[in-house]
Amino acid sequence: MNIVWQETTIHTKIYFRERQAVFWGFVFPLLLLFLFCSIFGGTPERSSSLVAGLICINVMAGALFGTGVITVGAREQGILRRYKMAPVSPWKIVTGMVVSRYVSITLATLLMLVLARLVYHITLPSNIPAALLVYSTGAVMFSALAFVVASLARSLAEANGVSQALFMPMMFLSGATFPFEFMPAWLQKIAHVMPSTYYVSALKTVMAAGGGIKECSLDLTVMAVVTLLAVMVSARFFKWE
Amino acid sequence: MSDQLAVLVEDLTKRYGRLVAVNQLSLDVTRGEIFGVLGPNGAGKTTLIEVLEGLRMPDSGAVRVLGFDPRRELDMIKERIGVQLQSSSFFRKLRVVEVLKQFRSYYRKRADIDDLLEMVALNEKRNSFITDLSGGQRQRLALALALVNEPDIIFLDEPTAGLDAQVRRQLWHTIEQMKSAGKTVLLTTHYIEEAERLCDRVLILDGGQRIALDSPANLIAHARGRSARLRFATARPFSPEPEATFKVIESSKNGSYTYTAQVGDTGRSIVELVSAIEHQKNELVELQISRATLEDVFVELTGKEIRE
Repeated sequence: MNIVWQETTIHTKIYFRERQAVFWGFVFPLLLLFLFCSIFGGTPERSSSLVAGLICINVMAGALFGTGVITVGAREQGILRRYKMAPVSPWKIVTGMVVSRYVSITLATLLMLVLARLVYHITLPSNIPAALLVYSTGAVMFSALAFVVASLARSLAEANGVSQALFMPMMFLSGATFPFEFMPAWLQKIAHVMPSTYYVSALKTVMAAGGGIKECSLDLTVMAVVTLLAVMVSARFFKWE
Repeated sequence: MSDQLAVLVEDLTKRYGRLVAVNQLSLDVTRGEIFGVLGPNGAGKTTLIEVLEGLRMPDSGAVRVLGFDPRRELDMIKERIGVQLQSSSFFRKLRVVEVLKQFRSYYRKRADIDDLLEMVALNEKRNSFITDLSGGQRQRLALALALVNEPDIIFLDEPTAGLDAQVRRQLWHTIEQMKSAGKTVLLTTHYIEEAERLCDRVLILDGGQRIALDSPANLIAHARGRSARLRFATARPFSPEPEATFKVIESSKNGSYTYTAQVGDTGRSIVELVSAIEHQKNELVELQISRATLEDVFVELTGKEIRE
């Protein structure tokens, strides 16, 4: 446990020392917030629903690029190999990396919520435990999916490409940016294959409608299953060098 | 097995597909010695060291490190060995002292950070980011990392590759300090001077096979006919006595008359040379004795030059 805590602190330090990471993790989401809410916002309810989508985008980007791609980069440079020399369980190190990314994404999310509340008067979730559960389930799911990419990608370029290819459609088709209702039926079908769709739906439920766990139990179940599969695949295929 | 042995390898074979990287190799490393593995690129040095570190599993043969079997007791080995990989990278935005503390925390036995920094002369860089270190400084950090657990054996894979002469000498000094501290050091190198200067015993490896294993001095002494050379200059032309034990192989005139001779027994040849010069009423202007080097031995044993 001490090691997990230590790795979490170390990776959080590394994150905040990289200016680029802080820009994409903190500044960019806020720019998107102002852009989306000033174009599509209008009412606090609409803004609230947009914020739910932005949270999903932020979590996806943080996990795929911040955890997955960075891990492949560290492997390509031989950084991960050094850990194999020490009598330490690799999974403690991975957990530390994932938790640290969770911390930084959560800080960015909270900042976004506060600003959206102040500027666009969005409704804040009333059922805090349910909101936390939904938020964290999605964060864990995307971290696990990021490790699937890291396990299967053979190079940094490949990891980057695959992450982009997953990120783009999930960003545009899962209801995170455009409301679902505007999409043709066939696109909606595609959207329902994407895990992000369930995340956005659950986030909207706990944020806008003030709903609880019961209202999004289907979304949560889908996300739990995807997470389980992703963990199994990465545990089987992940390589340290 | 004996407690005196740090490493025991018997009939080790390691293949990558069809390529036999290490072929039926046997060796032992005594505690407290600096043991060198010398060979050209592709000789199997890194494979051998990685098998000992537990990074790769042998295909056949027995391996013991401090009496433990890497196949079954890897964590016991990891606790007690220090490793410097051939190339070391770290997360860019960590400070030197943070990296050391991070890796130290993985072990039960932990060295003092200040001592480590002093040993590798990185005291002034303790709060620098990895990005701000030179290549030599990173190499020294990697060496310090190999020492965070006060290991009994230290494995160094080409520790001075790509470093300039001054930094290399500093590292040699550090490695000698480790030996004085009673540690066993196993290093691979393709620098002959390094093996000759540092190592108690040297394994010459080529094509995954053991070519020779002995102290540098013995290896040099056993190399046929090349054990030492004399270079001397005389004021007037010199002709050796017919029954002399040395053999002039080169002569030139450059102000004085200069000769190079191959000798078997250095002491006896010098006495003979000096008395011959006196006998011929000649005058000795200069005399140099150069021992054959490991490089000569290597070329003789493998028929190859070691440098790329």
